[in-house]
Amino acid sequence: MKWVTRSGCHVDRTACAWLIRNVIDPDAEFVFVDDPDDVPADATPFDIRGVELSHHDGECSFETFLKKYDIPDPVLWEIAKIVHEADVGDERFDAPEASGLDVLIRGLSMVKDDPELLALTSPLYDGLYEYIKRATALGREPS
Amino acid sequence: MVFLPLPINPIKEGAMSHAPNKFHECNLKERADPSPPLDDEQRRITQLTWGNGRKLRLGSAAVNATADDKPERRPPSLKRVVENRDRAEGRQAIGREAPMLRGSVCTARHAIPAWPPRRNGYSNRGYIGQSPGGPYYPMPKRLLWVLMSYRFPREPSTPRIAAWRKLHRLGVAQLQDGVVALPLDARNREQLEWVAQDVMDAGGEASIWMAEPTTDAQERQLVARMMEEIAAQYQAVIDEAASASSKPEGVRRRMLKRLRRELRRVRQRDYFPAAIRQQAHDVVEELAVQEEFAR
Repeated sequence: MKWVTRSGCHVDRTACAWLIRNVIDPDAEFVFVDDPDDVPADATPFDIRGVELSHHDGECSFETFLKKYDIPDPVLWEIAKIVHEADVGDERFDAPEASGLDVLIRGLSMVKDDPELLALTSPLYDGLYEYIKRATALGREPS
Repeated sequence: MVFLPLPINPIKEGAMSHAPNKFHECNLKERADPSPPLDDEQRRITQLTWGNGRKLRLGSAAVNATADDKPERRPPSLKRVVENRDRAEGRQAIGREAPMLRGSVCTARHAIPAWPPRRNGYSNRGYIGQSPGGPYYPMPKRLLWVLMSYRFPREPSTPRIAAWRKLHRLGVAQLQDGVVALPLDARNREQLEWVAQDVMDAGGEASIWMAEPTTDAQERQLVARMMEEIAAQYQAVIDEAASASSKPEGVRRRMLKRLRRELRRVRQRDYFPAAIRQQAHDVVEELAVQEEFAR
C-alpha cells in the first residue's frame, strides 16, 4: 500500500514510517511530496496538515496512528511520548531523550535524502524499542 | 574477394556512399590496406577532429564526405548559455558559489521558490547575485515572514488558551489581534500550520500566508519589538541567576537546572540574537562553575 508524506522527514515522520513498516503495513511504499496538492490519490497521506493521520488535539501523528489503529503496546506508547516531546515540544511528558533524538534526526535529514533517512532511522527505532522494552521489564535502566 | 561487413551509409546526392559495397577501382590498394572502413559514427568523430572532408584512406567511400554532413554541434548547456550572456553583459565571475536567498531570482533567471526550501541550497553558480533590472520578478531585499491569520469561536476558551501557549512558545510577533508573524523557516511554517490545524479543529478559521514587509522601516520595527520581548526574558533569567548565588547549595543546583532549561527555551524563540543572549549564557554558566567549585 502506498503512503505519502511531506519530504524532509524529521522525528515524527520517521517514527510513523517505522511504525507503518513494522506494525501496520509491512509492504509499505513511501512517497514524498513537496506540495500538499501533489498528493497522489491512491496513497494514504500522513503528517500533512488537514488529513486524518496528523496532529490533532495537540498530539503528534505517531500518537494519532496508535490511537487510530488501536495499538495497546506500552512500549510504543513510551516511544510516543518521546516523539511527542521531540516534535511538539510542549513539555507534556518527561522525556529527556527527545531533544537529542530531534537534533540527531534533523541533522541526518540535512545530509541524507528521504529514502536513505528512513533506512537509517529504522534500526534506530528498533534499538529504542528494545531498550524501552528491557527498561519496562526490569523496572530500571537496562545495562 | 573478402566480404567486409560494411555499414549502410545514408544516401546523399553526389557521394559514392549510396553504393557502399562497391569497391573503388583501386582494389589493389584496398587489399594492401585491409583495415575495415569506418562506420558512420567513427566518420563523424574523425571529421570533427581532423577537419572537413579530409581523405583518410583512398578507396573507401565512407570517409570521403563533404562539409554538408558534418553533424551540428550539441546545443550549449544552460551553464554555458548563462556564462555567455553574463560575459556579454559585463558581469564578473567570482569563481565560487554564493548562496542565494530563497524567494529571489538566480542569474539563470528562474525564480528560487521560497517554499519548499531545498536542502542543498541554491547557488548563483559563481556569479555575484545582482538584481536583473529588467522585466523580471524583483529580488526581495528583506526577510520573508510567515503569517497566520486566525479567529477562534468565543466559546470555549480552552483551545484559545492552548493555541496561545503554543504561539508564545514559538516566539511569534503579534501584529494584530488575530494575526501573528514569524520569520520564514521550514520549522516555523510547519509549527504554525499545526497551530492552524488546532484552530480549525476547534471550530475557528485560520490561514497561513507568506509575506514580506513593504518597507524597511516596518520590518525594523517588527524586529525591534521581537528583540525587546526576548531581551526581557533573558533579563529575567539573568536576574534569577544573580539571586541564586546567595542561596544554599541544594537550592542552587536545582535553580541551575531550571535556569538552563529556561535559557534553552528562550534561545529556541530567539530569531534575532543580540548581545544579551551571550550575557545570559555566561551568567548561567558562571553559576555552574560556582556549583562545581562548591562541591
